[in-house]
Amino acid sequence: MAAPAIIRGVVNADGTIASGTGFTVGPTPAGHFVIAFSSAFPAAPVVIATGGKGATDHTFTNYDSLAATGVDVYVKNSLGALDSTAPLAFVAMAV
Amino acid sequence: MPRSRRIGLQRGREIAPRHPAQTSGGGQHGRGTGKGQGATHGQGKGAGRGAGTAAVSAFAAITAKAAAGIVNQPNSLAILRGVINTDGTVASGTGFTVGPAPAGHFVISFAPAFAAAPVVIAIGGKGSTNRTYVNYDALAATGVDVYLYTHDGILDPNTPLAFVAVGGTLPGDLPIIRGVINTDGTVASGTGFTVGPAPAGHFVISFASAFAAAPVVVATGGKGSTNRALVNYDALATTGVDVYLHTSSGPLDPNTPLAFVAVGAG
Repeated sequence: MAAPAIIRGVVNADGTIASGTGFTVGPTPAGHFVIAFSSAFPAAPVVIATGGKGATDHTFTNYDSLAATGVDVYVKNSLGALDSTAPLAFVAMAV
Repeated sequence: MPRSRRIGLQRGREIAPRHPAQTSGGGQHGRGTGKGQGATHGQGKGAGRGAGTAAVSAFAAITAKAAAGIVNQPNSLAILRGVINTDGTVASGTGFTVGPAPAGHFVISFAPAFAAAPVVIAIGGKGSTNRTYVNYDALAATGVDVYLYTHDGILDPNTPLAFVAVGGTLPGDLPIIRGVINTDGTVASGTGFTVGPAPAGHFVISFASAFAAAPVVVATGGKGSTNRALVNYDALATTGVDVYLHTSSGPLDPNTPLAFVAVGAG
């Protein structure tokens, strides 16, 4: 399978994929989305993300474990706790 | 590029001439179907490609979609993306430089410059705090300043940055709409969408030409009166999306502009 140039998706709060292809998501994210790319990028891509509207209006996102094969994206509330109610939109782009 | 070289350049929200159709306050038109998560899910799965991505009548479709602001033909690559380490070294990406010792304030210079100020979206990495806030300022064709703040409102020197600057088309064959919206709802840059009037932190974005399936929308707030605006989206549909900017204490933030990118299915 050819290396992707871009992968984008929307992931529901429960980890099911609302839209997008070319990736899988670990079960029961509860605010911690473990995203695995189905076909690895040539190198770690750039990943940007935005949380959807969950139970709280003020969620923020960050990422970790960025690699050619996947990334962890976190959605947290203003108290710093993982937000299990917000969906996630992300774009991963090859560099 | 030193900040002094950018002084005097127009910022993004002042550069692009506003298309009359973009400021008509279209608001929620065409949004009757597709509000709420359930609708989002249904639209996001397997709806197939839009007309412009099909091979049939390719030229006419591309022309029509380009006129509507959806650019999907494979074309010159007017996009930069990168990951920047906390010390300002570039972890990945090319076509830009970063000022030294950012300490949470990343002065990014594009090389070469875009034709006009691009849309810049960004996200902080996982640093010593789990609550970094991203915003941008001094958006220009030649560069942008991106800030990472802690929850306490001070610059965060311990968090890397990932960003994408979109000035034209995406690689491949993906439909995309991108834009920068001023706090008063006027369109600073971008085409193919309208914004409801007087957003006051709640931006009702309607796509001029619907996507074939609900796109992925990512967004970043600009630098407003607070450094800690939080972004989220709702009512994601083929025809539009609502994007919210909240202050860290919860209320809508009426003083922060918005940059967004909507990427459809390839």
